Amino acid sequence: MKPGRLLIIFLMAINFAHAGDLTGKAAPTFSAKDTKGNELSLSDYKGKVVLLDFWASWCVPCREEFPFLIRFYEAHQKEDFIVLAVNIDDKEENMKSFLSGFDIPPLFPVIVDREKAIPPLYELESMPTSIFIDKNGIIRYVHTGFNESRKREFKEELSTLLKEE
Amino acid sequence: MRWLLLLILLLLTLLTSCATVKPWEREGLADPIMIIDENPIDAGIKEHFLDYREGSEGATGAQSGGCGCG
Repeated sequence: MKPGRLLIIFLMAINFAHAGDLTGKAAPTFSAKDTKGNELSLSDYKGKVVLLDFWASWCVPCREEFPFLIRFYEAHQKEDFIVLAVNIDDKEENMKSFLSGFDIPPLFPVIVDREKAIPPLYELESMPTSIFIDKNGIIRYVHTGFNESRKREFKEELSTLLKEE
Repeated sequence: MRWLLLLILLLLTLLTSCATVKPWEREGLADPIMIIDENPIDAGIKEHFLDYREGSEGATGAQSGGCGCG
């Protein structure tokens, strides 16, 4: 192949470079405070299946997903499972206003990340992003966006991960 | 000459001014005020007319909800 053509292919490869898939890699650890002011760290939940969810009140699919997350966690809270919902709203009042709309507040921690330090660790490509982390701290499933079929997938994936040691 | 052209192409690629807005930085872009729209009442009438004529609806808003698919 001529060097010129190779160079053009190289340039195209740079432009279309895509973030790597995190599945199978160790989940990047982080520490942050939740809405109650408690300091949380991902490593605190080793031994549990973690559903790490990135959301914001301005994100329409996130608003659709959040009520499902509340019910999903309620149904599985007695198992080795936790939801960590990372909120990235710029304004705290927007988050509070959204959360106040629920009769029952979320039973899982809502992590406040105003500095937006956590999303780059997970190379988010869209909102919402939901990441299942297994009991050993390995990223197993990554979902972007939210739709009806996602509910069934969450249930199946959680069931699979809970059976593992 | 050809190499010079390729070099210029390379520099143009590297100096591109297009920046990707990260998903977690889209709060401002997701604001309803960012919808490029005329009078909302007029736009609603036009959308209704289009829905009726085309037998389908939706896909008329350009505002991104932040899901990355807007």
